[in-house]
Amino acid sequence: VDPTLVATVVPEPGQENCGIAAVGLARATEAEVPVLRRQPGTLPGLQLPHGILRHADDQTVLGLSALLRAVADSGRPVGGFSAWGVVFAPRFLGRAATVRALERFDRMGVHGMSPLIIPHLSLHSPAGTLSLALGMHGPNFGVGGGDDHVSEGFLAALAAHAERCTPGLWLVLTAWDPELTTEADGGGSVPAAVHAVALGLVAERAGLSFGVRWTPGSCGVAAAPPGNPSAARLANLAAFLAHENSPGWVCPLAGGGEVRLAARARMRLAG
Amino acid sequence: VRDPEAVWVTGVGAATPLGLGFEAVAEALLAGRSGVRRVTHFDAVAQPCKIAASLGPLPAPPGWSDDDFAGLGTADQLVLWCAVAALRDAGWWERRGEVRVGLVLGSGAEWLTCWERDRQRGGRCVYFPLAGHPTLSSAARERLKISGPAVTVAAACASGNVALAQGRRWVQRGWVDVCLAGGCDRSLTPMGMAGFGNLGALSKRNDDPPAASRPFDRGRDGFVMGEGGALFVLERAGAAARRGARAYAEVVGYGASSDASHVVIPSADPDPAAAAVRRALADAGVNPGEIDYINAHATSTPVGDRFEAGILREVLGEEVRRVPVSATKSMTGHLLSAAAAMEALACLIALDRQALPPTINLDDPDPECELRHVARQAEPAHVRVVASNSFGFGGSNTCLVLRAA
Repeated sequence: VDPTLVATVVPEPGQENCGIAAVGLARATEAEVPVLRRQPGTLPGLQLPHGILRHADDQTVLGLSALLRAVADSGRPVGGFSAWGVVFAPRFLGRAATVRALERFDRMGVHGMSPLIIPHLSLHSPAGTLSLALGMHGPNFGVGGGDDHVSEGFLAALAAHAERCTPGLWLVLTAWDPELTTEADGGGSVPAAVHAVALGLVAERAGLSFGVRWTPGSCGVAAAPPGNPSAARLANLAAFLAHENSPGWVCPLAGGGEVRLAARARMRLAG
Repeated sequence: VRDPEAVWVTGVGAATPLGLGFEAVAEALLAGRSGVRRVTHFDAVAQPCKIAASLGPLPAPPGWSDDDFAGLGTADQLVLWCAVAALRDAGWWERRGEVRVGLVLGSGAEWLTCWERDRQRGGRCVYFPLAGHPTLSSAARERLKISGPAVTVAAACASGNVALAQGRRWVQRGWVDVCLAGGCDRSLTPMGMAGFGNLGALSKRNDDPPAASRPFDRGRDGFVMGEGGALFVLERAGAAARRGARAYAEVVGYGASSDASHVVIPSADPDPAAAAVRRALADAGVNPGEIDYINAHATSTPVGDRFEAGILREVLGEEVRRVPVSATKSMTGHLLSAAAAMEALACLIALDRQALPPTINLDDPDPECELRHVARQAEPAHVRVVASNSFGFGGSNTCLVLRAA
């Protein structure tokens, strides 16, 4: 992929920006996830630790797949990210596995509780797994976990990026859309799919940019963001990133602000 | 005020196994009191570990009726109690509508715990999550009627440090005027305890609960789960000084890294964790010779404590013989995603009381963990600069540096 995803955003008052140097998207239905679990992607020189995704949640699998696509998009070798960090914002991580764990605990008690649940299904888990997968030693942490995971992910990533202790940071956003249904709730009529977006954040404003803008002087009790389910926001984000003619993408932040991605412009990165 | 742009801690809200509020926790920590006891709030007979540092019922904060507060989930109660207490302590509670107040909550296994507790009550939230609860941070934001953003962050046992680092940046960059930051954890449930127990991570010293958590001791055999939380009010030093706020400390340094080695076991290579500590010291502009106290992550596991001692030796060099180190998990148990916040509180107590909380149960120090331990009882000390290590599953390494304001 050539590095043509260049747009620049002129910072506005009250706005902070961060460059996006690489983008990766992934989507898989429930039936397709096992294939990606075995082989989330291929890159020259990539050797994933053996069995790294064996016990991982489906959202972690898709997150890694999107990340590998973003690495390819970056044009850099896979080994070039050893100092990068990972911020991973899933939604309702591990829900299907938790249903099975709850039912198993009901039947078998203490001995039925897998020791793998906590290491692999907690909010920190996907970020840790991705840092391990690519041997990245920058900070890693999870964000959100609920319905506002997209906006929370952007905000936390921008703050982490402000630490300026890594050359770059991966922001990975994932969710089931529609939510995965289980046997216990009768199954759903619409096939569920996991969506994942991986963005490579860098200090330079070369490449696609995102910014957080605060409404000047806003205080008092702000209303909750207008009804806009997060899954739709993630799907909208993926659509914006996948189609060149999208006018832009905006996600409201609780607290009188918004996350805004600039419209893509066809400009070639120097060098 | 040396630097008006510096970020101060001006309020504390804490609910811990050792008590509620700064004063109660300070008294217990410096007295070397253990909060570990047999688990009684659920049937733990079949659990490999039957002891924990649990949190008793919380009183309703001012402004909430007992009935309304009792109707909330236990984790919601904890966050709300700590947040209200912190804002009141800082003098912002009645005036919180005048400023933009944000919330960064360190919380690790929120949904696992929420879904388990909901199912115990006959609920079906796990099947219909979109019709269920908002996150703890979103719910707290609504209940507290604060106007800034609210975010949940998780780096396992290092979550509280990540939250404090985020809160510091939010304040520095003017995203909020005041930020609540810290960690809360109520994962002490039957499934949570079984999960850690079956992982082989917990102490089996069930016959002597207060002696079970013994970081750096040769007889340590695993950690003891704890629950509780601490939230801190962060704000700019200049603004805080102008309104005459109490300054517990200045948040001066933060460093973080990843092992990229294993999802559970800490790396045998000390370099990544050492890099996090060095980064925090560099961020703070202090060298090892200026550190007056280190609160170690030390959970009382055979491997983790030994590795941390090696990391401290590598970072501190010759100063390792001088810098006092203690592990307050010996008293509080391991508060998991609230542990870093609990230990930041222990550091504030050291600064405030000019005394170092001890590592209790350190009767037979492991020679592989040789450090300048504050063993068994508190020590008076001149304390200006303190550091708190917190490491977590997923290979997260963090270090926070605080300085007397």
